[in-house]
Amino acid sequence: MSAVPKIQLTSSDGAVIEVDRPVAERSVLIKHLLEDLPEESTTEAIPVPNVNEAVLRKVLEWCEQHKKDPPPSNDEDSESRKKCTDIDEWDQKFMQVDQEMLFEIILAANYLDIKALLDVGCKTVANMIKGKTPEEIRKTFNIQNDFTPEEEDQIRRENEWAEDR
Amino acid sequence: MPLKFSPPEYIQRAKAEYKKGRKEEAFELLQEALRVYPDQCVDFLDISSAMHSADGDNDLALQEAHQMMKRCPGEGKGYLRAGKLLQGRFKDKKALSLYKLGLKSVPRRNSHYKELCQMHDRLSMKIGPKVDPLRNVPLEVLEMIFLNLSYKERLFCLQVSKTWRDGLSQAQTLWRDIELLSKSKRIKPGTVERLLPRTGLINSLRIGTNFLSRSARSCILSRSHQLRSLEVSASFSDWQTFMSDMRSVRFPNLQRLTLNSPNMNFSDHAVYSLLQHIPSLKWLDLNATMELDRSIPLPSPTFSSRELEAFTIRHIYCPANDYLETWLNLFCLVIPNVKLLRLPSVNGDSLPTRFLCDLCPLQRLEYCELPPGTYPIVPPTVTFLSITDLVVSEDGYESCLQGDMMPNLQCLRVSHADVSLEALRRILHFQSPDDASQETHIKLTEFVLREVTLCFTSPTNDGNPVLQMFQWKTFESVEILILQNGDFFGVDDEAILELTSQASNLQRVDLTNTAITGVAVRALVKNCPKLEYLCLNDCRYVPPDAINLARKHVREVSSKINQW
Repeated sequence: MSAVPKIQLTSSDGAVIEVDRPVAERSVLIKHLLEDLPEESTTEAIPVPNVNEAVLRKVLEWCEQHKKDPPPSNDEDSESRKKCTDIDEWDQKFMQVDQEMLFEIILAANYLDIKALLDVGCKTVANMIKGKTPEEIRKTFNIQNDFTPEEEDQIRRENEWAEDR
Repeated sequence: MPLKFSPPEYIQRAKAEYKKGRKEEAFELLQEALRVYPDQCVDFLDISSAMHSADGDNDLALQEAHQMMKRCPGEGKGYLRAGKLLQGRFKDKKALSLYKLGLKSVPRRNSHYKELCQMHDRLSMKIGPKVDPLRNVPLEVLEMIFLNLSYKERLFCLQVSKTWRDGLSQAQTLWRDIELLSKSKRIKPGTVERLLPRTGLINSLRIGTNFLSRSARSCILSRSHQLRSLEVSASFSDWQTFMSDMRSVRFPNLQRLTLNSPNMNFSDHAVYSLLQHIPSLKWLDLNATMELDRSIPLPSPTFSSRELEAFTIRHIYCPANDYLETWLNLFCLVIPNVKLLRLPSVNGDSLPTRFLCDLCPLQRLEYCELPPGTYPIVPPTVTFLSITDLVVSEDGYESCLQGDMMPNLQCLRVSHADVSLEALRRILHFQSPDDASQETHIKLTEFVLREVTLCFTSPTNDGNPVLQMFQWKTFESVEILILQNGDFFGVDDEAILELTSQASNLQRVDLTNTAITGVAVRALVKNCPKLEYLCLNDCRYVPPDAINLARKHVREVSSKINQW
């Protein structure tokens, strides 16, 4: 058995991180990049210009945990998409970070094309909104209510029917 | 001069004194311990701090916590103690900075590192920097986030701010699946028009309100050409108008149609014209009564709804029995590819299965919610090669099971219904030895009986019906067996012993509230090596040692006793 091949990634702030190739290949972007590279140049560090070191380490921590997951299926059928916001326990703990980090992880997952991580991130944000009133949502994300009282009242009345279930 | 104790003894004694209310003595002991064992100061300070904090003396408690950090910066306890005290005083920011400092100074192998991480993450989630997703995330990701919410929750999001309203309205995919559900509140005129996606058409629509004006409805229908799924649960006073409005729309892509309006009557003609009108339909669920109307001629038998795979109608009403037969035979030609049929009651009784012979692909047949008290129709024997699932529940009649042959049955579920042993014999044991003269039924090898459920069901027979059922030796392939509340129809040790002599493939067995004892449990454990779930709830005669034995061999064993 040969050792697991390693590759190096350079974060936007210049940190070089060594990682097992199969772990990094959870990212479809990196996987395709590696496939296109000639064999000998995989020893060079691959730049990941949009992601800083802290975020990249966090993303790789997720990839390491999920390296044995089955590869993502290709069916993009929106009908099969479940509205289920269940997140497995490890992922839930993993996502207990401040909002800045959470959104950076989401953006990194989007950029690196790690669909499962992007999904978990989006569900985490959705869970922060779920079941909340507009005022509670504003508090959660520190959003200024820029509606005039009249505008707000009008929208509220228009949506009144939906509160009744 | 007090005696010298070991560190744990100091702690023990201090705690004991504290409990007795002799707090002075307790703190003195800890002070002394600090002097004697300066290298273990963290533990003593921690206890002392906890005691001060319990006394409400938070300043002292905090001082001690700070000392812990100062004297042992590599130990997590101090940061935790101080952080929690600060959080208790609503000084979250200070607490967070202490947790951050702790995470930098404490090595990962420290036993409190993990808790420190958790406290840090939880607090930073609460008071850390806030990010407005609408200003920081590209549209395609926004769509992914908000698609996890219900339509109603998405509507509330429009009220958050102008940025949210404008940003989310742009995300077209969020508004293609519309749910208009409201029990009692009127939807204001103009609302529906504004909710429709600005461009593109509606993908799915659920209407669950009686308060939808005709103009709103026609506005929706005018945008519904691409509709794939439509569910209407309402009692419009002008239901007929709605139906005729619907017929004026072409639905080339509609696959699922649910009309849930228990008080409504459809004529069979209306159902036909729906099917004819929407040839793409795969799923038609009509929770309503279908009235057969003799005065309207049946549709030409050349028409059939070839895509339709699932068909449900709650009740068929037909005043004339001879007409019913003709109609049913023709109707089977109209829905030739139906795999799932939820059977109605016909004139208050179950539909005799012989009418279904023409439904070749039928895989799942459900009888349910039949009104009790009507006489059974006894059909001749029918063979269903394709049926793999048969579900009978809620007073579904014995009659519907009599004599039918389903050699490819994989799943049989009977609950709350009486079934004769003879019917079960036919179904489970489709060719009995004394039926040698009968023509051979085609048995496909890939279809074997995998699941049998009998709940609140009593096969009627002399002797022990379950024992006799197991004696047919048809349970070899069964993986799931559920026999809840079966003590009154003979689920006992003898029956289970008979079962385990053949059923070596059992994986999940539920014997809730049956009269078995340890003998049956032992036989199951011994003869069913694949068993991974065994439910013995309310089995009062199974002794603890048998349950323990089961737990050793079976991954999941449930043995709750309900104390009535």
